[in-house]
Amino acid sequence: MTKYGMAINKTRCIGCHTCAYACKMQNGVAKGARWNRVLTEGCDVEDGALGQYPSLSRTYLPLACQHCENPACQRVCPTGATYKDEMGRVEIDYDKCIGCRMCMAACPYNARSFNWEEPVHQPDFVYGDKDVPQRTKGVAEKCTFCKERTDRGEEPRCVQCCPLDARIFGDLDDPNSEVSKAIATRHGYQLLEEQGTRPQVYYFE
Amino acid sequence: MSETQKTLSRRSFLKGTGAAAGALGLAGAAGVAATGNLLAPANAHAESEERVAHLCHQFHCLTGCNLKCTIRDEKISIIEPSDLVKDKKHSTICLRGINEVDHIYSEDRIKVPMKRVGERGEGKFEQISWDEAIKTIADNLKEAQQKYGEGSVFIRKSTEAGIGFDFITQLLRADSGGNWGLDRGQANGLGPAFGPWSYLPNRSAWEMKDAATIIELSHNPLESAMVWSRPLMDAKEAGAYIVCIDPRFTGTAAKANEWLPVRPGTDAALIQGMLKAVVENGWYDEEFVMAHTSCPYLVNRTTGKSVRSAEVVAPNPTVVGAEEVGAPLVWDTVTNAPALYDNPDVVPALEGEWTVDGQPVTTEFALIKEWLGTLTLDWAAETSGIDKQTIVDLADRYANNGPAIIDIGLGGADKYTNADVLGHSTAMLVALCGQYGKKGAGYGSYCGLGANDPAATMNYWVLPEEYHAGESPVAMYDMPYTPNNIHAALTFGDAFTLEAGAAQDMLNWVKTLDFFAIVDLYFSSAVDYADVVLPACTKFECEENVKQLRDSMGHVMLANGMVQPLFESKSDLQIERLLAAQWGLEDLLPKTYEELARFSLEGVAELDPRMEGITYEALLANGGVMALPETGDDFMPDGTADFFLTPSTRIELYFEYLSDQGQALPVYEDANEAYEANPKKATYPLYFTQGKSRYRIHAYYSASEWFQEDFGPRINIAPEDAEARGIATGDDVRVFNDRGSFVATALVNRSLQPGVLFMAETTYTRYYKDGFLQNVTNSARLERGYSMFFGPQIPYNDVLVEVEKA
Amino acid sequence: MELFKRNKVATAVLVMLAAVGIGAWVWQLMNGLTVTGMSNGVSWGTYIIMFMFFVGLSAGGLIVASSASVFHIKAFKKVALPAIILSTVCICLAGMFVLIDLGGIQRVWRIVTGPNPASPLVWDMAVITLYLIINILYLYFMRKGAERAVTIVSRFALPTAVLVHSVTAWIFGLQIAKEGWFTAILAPIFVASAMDSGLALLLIVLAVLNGTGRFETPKELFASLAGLLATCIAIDAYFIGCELLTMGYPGASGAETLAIMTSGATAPFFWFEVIGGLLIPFLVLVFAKNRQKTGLVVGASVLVVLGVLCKRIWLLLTSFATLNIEGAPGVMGADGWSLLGLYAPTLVEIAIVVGVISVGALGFMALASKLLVPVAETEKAKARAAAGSDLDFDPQVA
Ligand SMILES: Nc1nc2c(c(=O)[nH]1)N[C@H]1C(S)=C(S)[C@@H](COP(=O)(O)OP(=O)(O)OC[C@H]3O[C@@H](n4cnc5c(=O)[nH]c(N)nc54)[C@H](O)[C@@H]3O)O[C@H]1N2
Ligand SMILES: Nc1nc2c(c(=O)[nH]1)N[C@H]1C(S)=C(S)[C@@H](COP(=O)(O)OP(=O)(O)OC[C@H]3O[C@@H](n4cnc5c(=O)[nH]c(N)nc54)[C@H](O)[C@@H]3O)O[C@H]1N2
Ligand code: SF4
Ligand code: SF4
Ligand code: SF4
Ligand code: SF4
Ligand code: SF4
Ligand SMILES: [Mo]
Repeated sequence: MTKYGMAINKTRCIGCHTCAYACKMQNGVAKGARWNRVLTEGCDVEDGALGQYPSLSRTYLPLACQHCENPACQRVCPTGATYKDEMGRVEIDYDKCIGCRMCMAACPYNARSFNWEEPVHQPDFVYGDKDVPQRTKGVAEKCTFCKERTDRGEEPRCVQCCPLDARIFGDLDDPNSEVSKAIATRHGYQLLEEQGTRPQVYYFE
Repeated sequence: MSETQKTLSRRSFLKGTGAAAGALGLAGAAGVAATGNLLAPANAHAESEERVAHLCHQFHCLTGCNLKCTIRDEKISIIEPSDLVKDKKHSTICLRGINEVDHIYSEDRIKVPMKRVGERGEGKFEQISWDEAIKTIADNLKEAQQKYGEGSVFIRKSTEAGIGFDFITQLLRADSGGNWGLDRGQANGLGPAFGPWSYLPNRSAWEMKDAATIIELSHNPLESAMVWSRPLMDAKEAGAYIVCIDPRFTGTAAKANEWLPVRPGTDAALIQGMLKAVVENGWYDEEFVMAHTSCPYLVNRTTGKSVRSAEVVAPNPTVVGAEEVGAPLVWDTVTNAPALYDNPDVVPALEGEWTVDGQPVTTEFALIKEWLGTLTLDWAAETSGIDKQTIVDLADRYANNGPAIIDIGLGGADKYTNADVLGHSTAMLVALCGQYGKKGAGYGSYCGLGANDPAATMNYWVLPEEYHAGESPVAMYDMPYTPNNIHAALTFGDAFTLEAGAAQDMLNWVKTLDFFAIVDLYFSSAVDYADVVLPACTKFECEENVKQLRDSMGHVMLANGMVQPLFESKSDLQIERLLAAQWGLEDLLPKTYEELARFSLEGVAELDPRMEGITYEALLANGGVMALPETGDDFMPDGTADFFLTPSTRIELYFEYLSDQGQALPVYEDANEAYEANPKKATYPLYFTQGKSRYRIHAYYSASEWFQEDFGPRINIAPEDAEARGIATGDDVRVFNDRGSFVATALVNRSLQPGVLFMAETTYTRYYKDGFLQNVTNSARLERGYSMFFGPQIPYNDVLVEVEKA
Repeated sequence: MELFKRNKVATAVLVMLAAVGIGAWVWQLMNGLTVTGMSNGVSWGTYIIMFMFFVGLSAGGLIVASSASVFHIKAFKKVALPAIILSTVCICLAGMFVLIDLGGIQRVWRIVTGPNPASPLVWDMAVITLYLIINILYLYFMRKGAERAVTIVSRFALPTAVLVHSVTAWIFGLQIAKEGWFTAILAPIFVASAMDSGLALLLIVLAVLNGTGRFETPKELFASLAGLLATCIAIDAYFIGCELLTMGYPGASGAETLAIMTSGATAPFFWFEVIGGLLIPFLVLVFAKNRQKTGLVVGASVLVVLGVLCKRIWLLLTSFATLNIEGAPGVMGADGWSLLGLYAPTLVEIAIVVGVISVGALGFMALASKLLVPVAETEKAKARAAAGSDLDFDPQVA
């Protein structure tokens, strides 16, 4: 079995936001929405710092759907619009989404973005991968692990574009995959482990 | 904005280009037949028409990535790292490259030629035809040249706009603005020591992982050299000890093992403290010093001049005057007499006092020691705000825990009047510690312009001899202050407000011109002041199927598969040709980018065998990208320490040419405005520093709607300073000093040293509620600067301000 | 319809408000939920607050009425009919709010064709439907005077009422992601507040009906219902107290949520509910002599209803106030980034809520017109006679 997963090297991550825009472009994510965000961890301003001057620290946290093994969003979704696919990805069937936002309430990572209105594209044409389905108002969306690309055997767009090579994508079920090895040797950890969602996105320092 | 500008909404323009798409599709198909795989289908199961194009992206981020664009229905729909450059190291992209999908189509593009209808600065325009626009510009430039002479016309291309060629300046023998002044502050001080271009390292950035110690001095590569922060993070993972010297807790500081929050404008004091520790503790590398530096050269104590041979001239002209000088002398301990510095039989003394021709002489090293003796570590600590022990520890680490790299920024500390003193001091530190020219050691700005990749050889399109840029007796930044003969100006890009400090002075001067025209892509700040505005197109657009030929990252890159210029814009080449035609000179210029590219590559293999096979046709057949033979993971230029572009080809630490100005050695001096004891601090207590942002290349990308979701004119203020002024994050604040003011959004950010503000440089006026950053910056010019290689540095950061809630 | 005729002004106003509400809803359908104050940070708002609120209000009535049969509390039988009408109307409103909140209502059938049994929303919709059916059956049998049937229905009604509350609570209470919701006692809390708010609303409605002469509630019954209300308030307060202690005591993340409730964005609602919705009404109703005074009882009941509304507000919004993973720029929404859950209902939401409540009021009036007979009319006696002596409820048939 294939269980896709990702590992993000926080030591290498320079918080450049390239992955965030790569994602927006690839998936035709509309105005006012992001599937992938780069947070300055714990800070109330971007590029802020923790601690007291001059003993400061700052880390960046690129955050998108964690493709949980035990996805809280999928559990609560009334129509099965959110599902876990055979590659271990958590996906949304937009045709089944009734826009109840149970999934948004359930996701501990605020990974989802809702189409509060008919998506407005800036620029106003359909940019991005043409295989990515377009969304309408009233449905929830989020990182798909670049389903369209990964289905074609390509790596996710954010992984391809990261200028620091801080993102590793691959099969968690294969102990020899680069991603599995990174998690094993560099003590990969999951976000909000206590929530029991068992993310398939790992972070390591 | 004129009515036409308003009515030409993006929607209507897209409809227009959609109609044009059919015709272009045909043109594109013809292209395939002619050039092979130009239009290789991106996707087998394509329904709508897709093709791919490759081009070399920006220059001014100092990177030049090759980008792959997917063009669907004649719109650039996907931008990704190139698939034509093999290794990941060269297949790079950043957020700005991706963002072009939005930026190209931004609402704030200049769409049509326009003429001014309101007052200068009001920004009221009316659409005119290209013919009228070109004719108006030509008529006005001609008139000025007739009335006031050739030198009365000023033509300048902003850096990004100037990539490739600048014919019109030469054709009109126009003034092009003289000294650079943008980012050569430290270069002015390290150039005479290591050679003029030594602000760029002579070894590869990929060697950072071989360094034990890396000092990031006023450099924030995580934002200003994003792609190049890769070798830095490789080094971090490999265990290098990284120290970051910056008043601000930058991304780079956050990655560093140690952050030294230096007081703005005082880095030289910190470096001089290190120098003192190095010399007094004997941590310097005597072998290196003797072999590669000017330390043993003799200096006349009375005159302060170097003691030089009357017969033998030094191998290189000086970097400053380009005049020949006598070869320096050293004291030979064998013969106990002065001898030529490069005589292999001589055993020079490093220190000593002698008499030559009745004059007391000593060595440079002795003078350096004496000078350092006059400094105290307490002074260094007090001035720089960095604790004494920290300075000594850093010196120890740098000198004794090598190999070590000092990676300097071209911004930050560069942009103070005293930056040459810093450059000179650091050069001395590097030289004395011998951290140069060996694996894992180096000095300069590892910002991508470094020697990371082999460079190509290409022909330059040369105009007949009589066409050349004018004299430029007065630098652009001096024009508002120094009498000059400029009466008409044409700029490609907003040079006036991006490049000069104290924008009000500059813009008031611009208002006095008889005529000013601008060729730009977006509504930059200077556009509002122009009489005629021409819309240029982006790198992604061209009338032809190809555009710029460039050399970047060890690859020759020809932009191909272009989309037609959007709106009514035109490429810079065609704009230059239209202008040249007004003088009947268009035939001197290449007709097309294709012609220019073909010419650039013609016969280059004879000049440089590495270029074998890199022809125009071959490039196109390869999608526009070909690597130079050495390019690859293992390309690692072996920059040695044997030869420097200085008169004696060694590192020269004693600046004889500045001895009359008391700066033969880097004697510390306060910045022009940004220093603690400045009485102005009572009124304007805050240091105002600027720097690069990942969301900008200078002001470029301000018009991007994607970026506007994340970023705008924001001023970072320390919590202490914010609290004292009742300022909270999100408040509009007015930043002001005697030169002017602007309003921006406050971000209360504890990353800042209290007393210091930070703002990303910069954003066009239209995105501010009032004024803009450059209104408050400093335009002071250091007198000494005029005798330096690059001329005075514009001290953008040498600024005090006060902030209040707007 | 008699009540409409008698209250022309009120009817006209309600019809107008309902029309405005429907218009606003159509507007919302056209433009999407962007017309609301909700965002990716606060993805549920007024509609879901109202949903919880009305589910609660609905329960009070049914619990009172069915207790009458199940526990043979004879006195309660007197008010069973208005209680069930109230319950029916409220559950309809609750259902309407869920539907109004859906962004893709045109696909709502998907819930029937492909329900995910793990989703509490599926269960809630099912239970609400069941509950509505029970209410209707209840009304139907009561009206028919089918006493046995009523008794049977009431046996189901009571657990269904409790269930409806519990399942609604589980929509929230099972979400580990939300500190303020994730608690085992959320279901009991919901039941308790359903009891007190439902009862309070019933008291208010009974008082109003009394005033209009439409339906008379015996004084003692009124007082004893008020007494029951006091008990419910106490139970509600007790549960809330337990929950707060558990949140605050470990000084962990729950304490942060508690801080938002007690001194942060949702504090006004929290304190109103504690003081206005629990403390004051309890202190009023705990004294028997106060329970005799209709004015005081109604006042206390209004406070209880408002208090529970406030509780719905703080319960929902407190958990949206902060993000689990903190860091600028936060979560992106149509109005930009936000680090905190910022929410204020828009006019559209308010119009829709007012509209729905107006529809509810009209519905109540319609049902009451049909099912409740003015006191003056003698058919009451007739009906009683017809029902026979073992009839242990008052059918009030027209
Ligand atoms: N994203 C992006 N990258 C760019 C550019 C761009 O516009 N955008 N421009 C390119 C160009 S032209 C240049 S010149 C380079 C410049 O590259 P950098 O030198 O890295 O640029 P800056 O950010 O201007 O300055 C670096 C740091 O200097 C700090 N600083 C300010 N005052 C002082 C001081 O007195 N002492 C010390 N030690 N530090 C100080 C600032 O806080 C800042 O973090 O970047 C290039 N790369
Ligand atoms: N306050 C302050 N000011 C600074 C600095 C600072 O730190 N603080 N830094 C300074 C430094 S280091 C530098 S290098 C300078 C940079 O200043 P510039 O060299 O002027 O900046 P660029 O970003 O290269 O040029 C941008 C202009 O060119 C236009 N342009 C871009 N591409 C094209 C094109 O293809 N064709 C045409 N016709 N126009 C084009 C853009 O729209 C814009 O108007 O700024 C300096 N200014
Ligand atoms: S692109 Fe890579 S380095 Fe940049 S923010 Fe994303 S993960 Fe970090
Ligand atoms: S991160 Fe959130 S949206 Fe993604 S799978 Fe986990 S619970 Fe679902
Ligand atoms: S919003 Fe859509 S995806 Fe989310 S829970 Fe509801 S139906 Fe499922
Ligand atoms: S995997 Fe694809 S969808 Fe997910 S964050 Fe990366 S680019 Fe976006
Ligand atoms: S802007 Fe970014 S993508 Fe473009 S050349 Fe520079 S680093 Fe590369
Ligand atoms: Mo620069």
